[in-house]
Amino acid sequence: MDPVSVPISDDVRKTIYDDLAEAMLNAVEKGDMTYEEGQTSAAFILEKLDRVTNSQELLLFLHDLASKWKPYEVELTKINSERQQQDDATKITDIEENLNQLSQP
Amino acid sequence: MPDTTPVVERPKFQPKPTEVLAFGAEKPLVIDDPRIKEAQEKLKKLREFKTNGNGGREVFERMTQTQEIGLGSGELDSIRTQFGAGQYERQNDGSIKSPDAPLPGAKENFDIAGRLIDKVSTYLQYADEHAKRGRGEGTLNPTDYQTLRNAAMDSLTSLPAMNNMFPELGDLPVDIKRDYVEATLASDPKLRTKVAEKMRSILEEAQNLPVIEKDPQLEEAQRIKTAAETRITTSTARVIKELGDDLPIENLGELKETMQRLINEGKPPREVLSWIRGALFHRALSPEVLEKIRQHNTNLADLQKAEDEWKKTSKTETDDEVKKAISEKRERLQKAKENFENDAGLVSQYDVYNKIVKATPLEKDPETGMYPGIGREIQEMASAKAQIDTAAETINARGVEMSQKERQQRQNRLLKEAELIRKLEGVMPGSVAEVLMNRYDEMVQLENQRIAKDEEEAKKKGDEKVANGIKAVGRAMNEKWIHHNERTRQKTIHRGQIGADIRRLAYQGEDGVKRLILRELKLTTPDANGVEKPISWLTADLTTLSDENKRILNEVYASQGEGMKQKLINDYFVARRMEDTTLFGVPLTEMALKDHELALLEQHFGSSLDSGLSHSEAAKQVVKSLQERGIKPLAGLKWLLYFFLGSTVATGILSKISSVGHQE
Repeated sequence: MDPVSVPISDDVRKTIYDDLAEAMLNAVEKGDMTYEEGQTSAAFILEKLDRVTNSQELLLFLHDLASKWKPYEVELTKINSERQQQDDATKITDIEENLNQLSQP
Repeated sequence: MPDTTPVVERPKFQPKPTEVLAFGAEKPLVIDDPRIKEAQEKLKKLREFKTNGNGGREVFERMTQTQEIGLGSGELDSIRTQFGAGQYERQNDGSIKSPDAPLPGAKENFDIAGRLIDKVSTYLQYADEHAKRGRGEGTLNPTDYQTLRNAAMDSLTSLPAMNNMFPELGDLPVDIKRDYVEATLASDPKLRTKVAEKMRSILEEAQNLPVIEKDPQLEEAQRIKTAAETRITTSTARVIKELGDDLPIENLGELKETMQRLINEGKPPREVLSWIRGALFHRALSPEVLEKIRQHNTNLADLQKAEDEWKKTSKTETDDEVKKAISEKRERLQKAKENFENDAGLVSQYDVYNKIVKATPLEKDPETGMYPGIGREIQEMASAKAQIDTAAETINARGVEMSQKERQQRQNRLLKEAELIRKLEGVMPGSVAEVLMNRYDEMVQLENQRIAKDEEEAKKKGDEKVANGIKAVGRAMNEKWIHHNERTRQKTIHRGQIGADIRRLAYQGEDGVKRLILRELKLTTPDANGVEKPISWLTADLTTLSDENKRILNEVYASQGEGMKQKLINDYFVARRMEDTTLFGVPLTEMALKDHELALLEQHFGSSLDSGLSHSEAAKQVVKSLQERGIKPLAGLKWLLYFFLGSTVATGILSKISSVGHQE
C-alpha cells in the first residue's frame, strides 16, 4: 500500500501527542528548550496535529516541527525508522513470496 | 622597515578620552535569568500532571492555557487578608478592623501589601478591559475606561524601577508618558500573563504563610469580649432606632455615646433607663412646659385624693366647714385640670411626655422580671458588660493579651510577610523586565536565522571568504556585547565593549560599523617582506585595502551592517535595563550615552531611525503627540521608541500591539 494514503487513527495520534509531550518535557528539563519555547511549540502542535489525516501529512508536520524546534526531531527519527522497518518487512515478504514462487515446481 | 600603517580616517567629532575610557576597566556582568527558576517550578507541575495519567494532548493544552490565565478580584482580596499577621481584616465598608494589641509592623505590612495589590489589580483590570475592547467586547464606558487606563499607566510610570528603565521619559507631560508606556508595554498581552502568573504564585505563598496557633483560653476570652462589645454596639443602635420609631424627637443618635459610656461604667439598667428618660425630656420639652406637666400630674393626683375624700364625707356626718373646704379644693383642682386640658399646646406636649414615659419603663414586669421595651435591650447590654469584665479578667490574668508563644509566631509570620512583600513589589517591574527579555530573545533568534541564511547563500555562491566573514560577524554579535549561553540560559553583559562600540557608532557613523565588521574579519595584508600581517581594524585606511579585502569587507558590510547596528543599539538598551538593581540584583552603573552622543547617533543614522519609526503606528502616534505639544523628541526618546517599536525585527514581533498607542 502507498504510505501516502495510510490514514492516521486516533490511537496513533494519541501516541504521537504523548511522545511529543515527553520530548518537550525532557528538552525543557535538560535546558535544550525554554519553557516559553515549549509553550509556543505546544500551541503549534495543538493547531496542526489534529488536522493531520494521513501518514504523509504526519511526516510533513513532524518535519516542520523538528525544523522549528530541534528537540522534536527524535519523533521524526522514530517515525521514519518505523516506516523503514515496515518497508523492509514488506520487501522481505515480497522476496519470500518470489522465492516461494520460484521454488514451486 | 617602512611604516605601512595607513593614515587614520578621522571622525567628524573627536571623543574626549575620559568619556570612552570610563568603560575600559569594567568587568562583564553575568545575569542569572530569573525565568529559569519559575520555568522549573511550572515544569515540575506539568510533569506531575502527566504522571497523574493525563495524555500528551492535555499537557500541551494545559501549557497553552497558562498563557491566558487571569486573576479575579476575589483572589487578589484573599491575598490581602493574609497580611498583617492575620490580625487585620478588611470590612465590607472598606474600613479596616484592627486588633486590640497589634504587633509593631503588622498594620504597615497590611497597608503596604494592600497598596501594592491595588496597583496590580488596577493594571489587571485595565489589561482585561483593553483585551476585551480589542475583541469589541468592552464593558466600560469611554470615560470609565479612560480613568482606569490612566490610573494603570500612572501606577506603572510611578514605579521607581520603571523610572530607572525609562529615564528618557523624564519630565514629559503625563499624557505622553501614558501613551508611551501603553504603546510599548502595558497593552502587550504577555505582560498581563506574566503579572497574573506572578500573582498566582504569590497567592499560593500567601496561603502557605506560617499558621498561628492560638491560646484556646485566651482566644475564647477574646472571642467573648469581642462578641459582647459587638452586642453593646448593636443593642445601642437598636435602642436608638426603637426610640426614633416611637417618638417625634430628632438626632437621637447623639445619645449613643453617653448610653454606651454608662453601660461600660457598669451602671444598673434602671439608672441607664432613668438617664435616657431625662435626656429625652430635655430634648423634647422646655423646662417651663415640663414644670407645668409635673404640676398637672400633681394636680391630678391631688384631685383624685379630693374626689375620694368627697365621696367619703358624703357618706358620713361631716362638719359643713370641712365639706366646704373639700368642695373648694375639688373645684380648684378641677378648674386647673380643665385649664390644662383646654391648652392644645400643653395637651400635645403632654402626649409626648407620656410617650417618653412609656418608652422608658423604670419598673420590671413582675411576671418576667425583665424591663419591657428598650429596657430589655438595656438589660442585655448590662449583661454583655458583665461578660466583658469576666473575659477581661481572664485576659489580664495572663498578664498580656497575647501569649508569648503566639506573639513569637505572629512575629515570625510578619517576617515571612515582609519577604512576600518584596516579591509583590517585584511583580510589575519583574514582569516588565521579563517581557522585554522575551522580546529581546525573539529578536536575537530571528537575527541569527537571518545571518545563517546569508551565510548559506554566500556558500552556495562558492564565496567561502564572505561566508566565513558573515559567520565571524554573526558570532561576534552574539558574544561580544550580550552573550547568551544557550545551555545555562545565562546572559553575560560586556558593558565595556557595548559602551566602546556604541560610541564608535556615535562618533564614526557608517565608518564605525565598517570598522567593527573589519575587527571580526581578521583580514591580512602582506608586509614589505611578503609576510601576511593582520590589518589593524582601528587604524587601517579603508580606501587603500587590497581589492579582495575591500570586496570581502563591502559584501559582509552590505549584508550584515544594518543588522549589526541594530543589534548593538538593542543590546545597549537591554544592557542598560539589566543594570537596574531592583530587577537583577547587580550594581547599578552608569552606562548611558551622553545626550550629544545620542544626537550624534541620530545624525549618522537618522534616516534609518525615522524610517524605522515610520513603520510603527504606535511610534508615529507618540512622536506626533509630542510634536503637537511643541516638544521636539530628544534623540534618546526616539532611539528608545526605535528599540521598542521601530526596528524591523521589533516591528514584526510587536505587530500585534502596533495599533495601540493613542486610543481613546
